[in-house]
Amino acid sequence: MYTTSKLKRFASLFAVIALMLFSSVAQAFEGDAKNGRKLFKQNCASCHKLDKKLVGPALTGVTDKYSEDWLLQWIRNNAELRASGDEDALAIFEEYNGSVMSAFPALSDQDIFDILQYTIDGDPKPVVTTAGGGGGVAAAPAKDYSKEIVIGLGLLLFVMISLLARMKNTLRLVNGQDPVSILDEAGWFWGRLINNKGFVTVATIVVTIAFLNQLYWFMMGIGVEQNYQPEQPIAFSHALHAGENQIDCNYCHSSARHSKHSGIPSANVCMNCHMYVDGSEITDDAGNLKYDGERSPEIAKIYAAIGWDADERGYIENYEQQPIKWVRIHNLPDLAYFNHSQHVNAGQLECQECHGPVETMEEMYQYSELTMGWCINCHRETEVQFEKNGYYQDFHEELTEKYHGEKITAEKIGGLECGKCHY
Amino acid sequence: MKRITTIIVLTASAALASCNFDKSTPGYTYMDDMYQSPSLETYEPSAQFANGLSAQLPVEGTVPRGYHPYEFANSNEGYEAARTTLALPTEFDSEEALAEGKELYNIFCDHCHGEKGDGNGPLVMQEKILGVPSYASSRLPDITPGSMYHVIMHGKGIMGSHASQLTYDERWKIVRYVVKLRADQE
Repeated sequence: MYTTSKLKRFASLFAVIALMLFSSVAQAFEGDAKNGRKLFKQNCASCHKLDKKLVGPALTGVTDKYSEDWLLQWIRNNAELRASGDEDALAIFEEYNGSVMSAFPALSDQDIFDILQYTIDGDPKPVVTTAGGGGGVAAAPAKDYSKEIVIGLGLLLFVMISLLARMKNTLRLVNGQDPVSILDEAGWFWGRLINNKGFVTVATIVVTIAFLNQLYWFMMGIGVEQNYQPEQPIAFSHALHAGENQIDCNYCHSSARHSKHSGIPSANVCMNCHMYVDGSEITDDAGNLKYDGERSPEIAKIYAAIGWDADERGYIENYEQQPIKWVRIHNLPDLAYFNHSQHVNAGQLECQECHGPVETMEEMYQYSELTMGWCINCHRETEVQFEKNGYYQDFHEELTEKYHGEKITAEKIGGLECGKCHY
Repeated sequence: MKRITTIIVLTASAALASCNFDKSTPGYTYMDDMYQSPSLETYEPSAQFANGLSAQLPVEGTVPRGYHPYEFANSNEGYEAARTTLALPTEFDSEEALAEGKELYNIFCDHCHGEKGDGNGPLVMQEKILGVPSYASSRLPDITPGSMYHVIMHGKGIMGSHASQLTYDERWKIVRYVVKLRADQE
């Protein structure tokens, strides 16, 4: 008993000394946190964050835990340090399930000090924009006033008409006649019109044509789902992913090149990025954090569907996964056949030619009509891409001869045959 | 008078009805049976299966056409084994594969790794994903075509597996192109 307590006391004393020693060591090096931040983002940020565990541990306070020399060795070549049997090195390797940290032989001592200084100083505080200040009003978005303008003009017209009526009546009074109400006058005028056979015939014809025209377009519009924009289970923005982030359509919709369908990406494709990107750093227009530094609730829906524990950074075992029920927008009737791979590979069409400027759409909607007339028009106008297509080479020569150098459209290779799409 | 009013009201209502104001519904069709046959649409829910999905996985052990088994495990040992023993198959060491690899690289890799493979893709420049290494040997001294293929298959660090998005051929074509980018970085 005596010996253990003595040992304990000795150990705690040692710990205190070690801590003092290390903290004095931490202040011994001079680093440039700004350069350190840059280097950190280039080299370390794929696996480390300052305040959160990622692939590797959070790095705030790392200089209190380990000595400067140890950190230099570990960052340069941690495998060597582990091979030398260093206990701390082996312990951290075990703690993170044996993920191997890359070696960084190219970093100089000063580079590493800069990075370490950054782990102490942290990010520079963001400049807080004061909302409600004198200059804040200028940023207000332009409002659409067209409705108010129309109503205002209508009122003006009404006032002018009543003014004119008053003037006319005043003139009558001056001439010694009785004033006439404007309504009586309108009634008299209407009575004359309605009893005029010519006018009634023309009006009936005009109204009937207008009605039939509207009816025609109404009937034609049945079954056309253009502009269909259903609410999706996750507020996914194509404008952000395909526009701002410049991710190729085919990255997520990879099956468009291989199959009839341009598939909805499975959640593992989302997780390729969202294992790392949790939306906590999203800022609004004013530059303030949108979710107060918390995880985005939309991204959290992916995690909830597949059972990803973002704090522990691992998939929850035996988790009952839930499908994400995206609502299909583009839907051809079952009586027509359409194949994505054919149009994307052989046709070499850009996705935007049918789907519109998706990279600007905050919320996805159906851009094209997807009617038969629309398909046929495109087949009539679009030239076949014979280049980079071995299969078409001979065929091309044959067709050029047949059509004497006219442009070869999809129509000329059978793009209008009924059986191509309906069978 | 009455007749004209009726006609005007009818026209107006037809004009209103022809605009589908509710964007959240697809609207009506003429012959529903022709549009929606009883066969299942892709991803449609189905009561026929226990988990309610029509998109069922193939029976375990199914080998698809053109399948190439990949024997290296997702572990440090697997990575090391792939790095040292797996080589670029000769059929992908061609100009054609290189050109196709470039196309594929620009779809699947360049938003992080950058068009030149210097680790400065648009996502990195916007500081959304950080720490993407350049392919240059000063930063990644010991990668080989084998380790590149392994990383596409299993991912590494914060990079996820891209096996589901790419076929065997496509993966090797990308590797071929990355080898070229790495040489260009020197």
